[in-house]
Amino acid sequence: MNLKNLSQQISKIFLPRLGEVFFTAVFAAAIGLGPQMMNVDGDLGRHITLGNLILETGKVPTRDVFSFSKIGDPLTPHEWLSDVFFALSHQVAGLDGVVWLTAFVLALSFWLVYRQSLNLSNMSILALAGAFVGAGAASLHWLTRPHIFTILFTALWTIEIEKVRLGLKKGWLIFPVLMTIWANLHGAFIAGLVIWALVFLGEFFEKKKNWNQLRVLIWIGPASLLASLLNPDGLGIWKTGLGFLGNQYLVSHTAEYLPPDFQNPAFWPFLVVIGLSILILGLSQRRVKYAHLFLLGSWTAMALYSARNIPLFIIVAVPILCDLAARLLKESRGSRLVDAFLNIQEKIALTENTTRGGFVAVVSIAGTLILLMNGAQLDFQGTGNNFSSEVFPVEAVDWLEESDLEGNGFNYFPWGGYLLYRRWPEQLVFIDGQTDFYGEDLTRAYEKVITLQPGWQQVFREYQIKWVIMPANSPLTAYLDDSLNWDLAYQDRLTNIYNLLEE
Amino acid sequence: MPWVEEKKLYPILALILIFIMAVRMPMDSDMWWHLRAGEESLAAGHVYRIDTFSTTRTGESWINHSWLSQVLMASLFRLGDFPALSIWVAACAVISLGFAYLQMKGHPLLRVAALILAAMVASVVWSPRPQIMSLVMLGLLSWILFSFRKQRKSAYLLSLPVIFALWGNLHGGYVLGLIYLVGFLAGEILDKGLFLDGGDGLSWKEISLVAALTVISVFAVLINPFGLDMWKIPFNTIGVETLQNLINEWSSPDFHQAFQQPFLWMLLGLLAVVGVSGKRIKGYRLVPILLFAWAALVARRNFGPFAIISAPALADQFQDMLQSWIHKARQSFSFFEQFMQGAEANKASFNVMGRNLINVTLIGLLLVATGIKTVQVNDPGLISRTEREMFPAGAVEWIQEQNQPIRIFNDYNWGGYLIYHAPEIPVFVDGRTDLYGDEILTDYLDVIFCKENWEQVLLSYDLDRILVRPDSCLKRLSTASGWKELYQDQTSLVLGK
Repeated sequence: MNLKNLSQQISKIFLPRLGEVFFTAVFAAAIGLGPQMMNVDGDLGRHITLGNLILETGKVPTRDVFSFSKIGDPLTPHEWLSDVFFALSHQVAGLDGVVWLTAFVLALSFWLVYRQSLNLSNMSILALAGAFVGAGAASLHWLTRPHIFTILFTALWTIEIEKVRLGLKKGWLIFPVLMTIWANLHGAFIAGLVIWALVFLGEFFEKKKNWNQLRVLIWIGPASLLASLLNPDGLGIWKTGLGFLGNQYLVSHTAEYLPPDFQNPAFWPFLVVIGLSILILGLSQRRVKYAHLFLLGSWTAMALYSARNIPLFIIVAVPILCDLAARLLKESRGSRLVDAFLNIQEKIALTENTTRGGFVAVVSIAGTLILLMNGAQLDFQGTGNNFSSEVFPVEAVDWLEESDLEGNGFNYFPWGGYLLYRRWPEQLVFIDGQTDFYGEDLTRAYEKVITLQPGWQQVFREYQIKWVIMPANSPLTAYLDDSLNWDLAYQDRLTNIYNLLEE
Repeated sequence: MPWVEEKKLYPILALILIFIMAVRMPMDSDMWWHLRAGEESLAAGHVYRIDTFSTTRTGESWINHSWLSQVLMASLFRLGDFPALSIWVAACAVISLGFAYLQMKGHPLLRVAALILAAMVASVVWSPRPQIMSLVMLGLLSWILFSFRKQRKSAYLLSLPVIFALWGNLHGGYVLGLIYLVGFLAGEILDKGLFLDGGDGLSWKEISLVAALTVISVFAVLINPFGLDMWKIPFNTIGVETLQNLINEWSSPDFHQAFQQPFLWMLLGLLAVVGVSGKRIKGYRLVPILLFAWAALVARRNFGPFAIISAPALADQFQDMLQSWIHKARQSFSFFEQFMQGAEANKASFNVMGRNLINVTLIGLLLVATGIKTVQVNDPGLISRTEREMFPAGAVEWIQEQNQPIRIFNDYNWGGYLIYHAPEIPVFVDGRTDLYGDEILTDYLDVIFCKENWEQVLLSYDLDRILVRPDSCLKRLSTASGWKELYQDQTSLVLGK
């Protein structure tokens, strides 16, 4: 082998491909945002605690063990497998491990979006741009919670179902397998069945039907539906999921189910994708495949209805938009700008073909884990991956651990998971982020207390509340400050703890 | 030939239906201060521009960008009380959508369907306020540019500076027109750049002409009592960061609420018909749609402009889609071809007298319904009851009976009502957000949401009365701080030191 060949072989291995650059960029960004991903959502503590319990006992609890308000009530553990993954990563590398796992899952998910966009459009620049904008739009939901597995499985599912649609895949057994895992990872596995229904309907409406394709497609739905029942609670997983979605009160009181607020700049990348959808479809001179149109329309509606669907919209929509944009560009040949773009694209495609890639991604994944396990702080803020004392009652719980407070404590809803992480099993919570389990009655009771609605004191009596942990600047603390029955036992910048005096 | 031809019958029926939808009880929190400002202008014989309505900004100059609409509103109110205002709102809604109808092609039924959907979207912003005039002006502007593009007569464009000079005095929403013009030009250029203009795009000379008149129109806006200040208005208003916390219509849409969902249907309907028809939307329509969809998603007060701008494209694409479907169905299914031929023959043989009778009856029935609805919504008893449910009428009467000079902290939505009904009581805040700015509005929010500093804010403005809703958190906190409940009814609560 001469020197030139050797250098070519080396560069083939070491030079990254565009997709790999993208993967590494998303992974690095997610690692950098670690503290934010952990601290925006209050449920991580609960997930780790439940995961640890499952690993210790070898059983998935189907009755509540975390709250005094509903202890022993039947519980649908629809995220148990995610919780186990979070607990395992926590056992390996603490909270750094959880962030690493999340970053890896997110990077993999959006790399799949890039791959799918490239497969459909055959234009790497478009695929890269689409995947970057998409990852930006979805970044609001880059959080250390089981939802990340739904993002990953939606990407896998969409790719596989598109293969069936295009006639590139003849079998359907992969779908029930994926669904079995998905249904145990996260309650939003229903998204897979929605995607299937839309694609099936779309293909059914096509004038030129491929009956072999339809035969494969038709099996996917029922088989996956049955597969979703292979979980610790069987049919209960459907009852819980649909029951929650059907409850207007709970949905409207769960932050992630609220519609996107476009006054918040964090939602603007999503707005850009919607704008691109209008522009690309508006300029398109060909009929869009019904399956793609149904997917695009339905997921746009779902994402505008609930912000938590934005990442799923991105995964479904970006490859379709890249495909349409590529067609549009090809139809516009002759325009100087378009021709210049297509020339650059051809050159990049030629360069891409000379590299194999993979090295940079593997090194960054492994290297990051090693660095984190050795105490490196890789986040942008340089604070390390910890529960922030600006968000969670870190110092107050330190004090609680030393205090002799006894009995039931009324807690601020977003702090429930953190309290479990620090204090379970010594202390149980009144409520935490698992709204689908606590239900409307208890959530209303909680709301009644924190907004001091008539009858709030009755809630305290009913649940025999002996102490209260709440944010310092809240109507309830303002009231308790002036009350003669309650003693301010602890106070810091974030938290007040009150103790009920003997009546 | 029937008296009212089919192609005229459908739009007449649709526009009457839209009038019925839009004729509502004129009851809006901002309506009151617009009426008072209009009356002040009429009484003084010059534009009201120095604030005398509030304690917080009294004596300061105010860019009263809607003065002409306010004068119109006050004159109508003098002339015909509440019914005149409700008819004015409905007429503006009909005219604005009428301009959209004139830009549609295809079967009248399809056009009417798109128009009704647009009306459902826009109905969210139909209220007795100057912004309704912006809908009319936007409809007019889009029709003028459409007509210019179709007939290539430059005379149409000469009206642009006149429109903007008028618009600049009617409402600060003239900026919507400028956005539309920029979108129109960008769309034409996009088509040219991508070789997609299909041969009927504007020439570079025509594009330059529109651009030149756009620039002239920007300057035409300055023909108003506030001169250069009128350019500041859009920035002043959007620059108020607390706006979306205070005013629902400035916040992003919430599609959990059914009344906001028609926007979603229209947006998705547009995407669907474009995707299925396989025919592209011309750039001069596409780019404004994009811009107004963007604006509507950021602030739902832009639903109306989006509906007016998008409805013609929706109708045209719908027509293209159905035409292609019907053509294919006629070729593919013989029974469908027979059915269509039968339908055409039946229509031709239908008695002209019978058609006249049906058409006139339909129009007559809808006109009767219009009259009934107009009378119903303007029933004095109903208006009085609604006023007392929405506004602190009882509290205002009680305060006036006390006949004491007071400095009041009031609910934002009641500022206008106080200004109109109790001009002797200067308000803390009202709907003139551009006047108050973030400084006052942040203080307002701190008090109304019972933040820690609520009492310091009240002290800093030397306020001795609080006028809020009975379920306000201030009720529970203030009693612990020495404030007393002086008056309470089902709508309002007055607290005093």
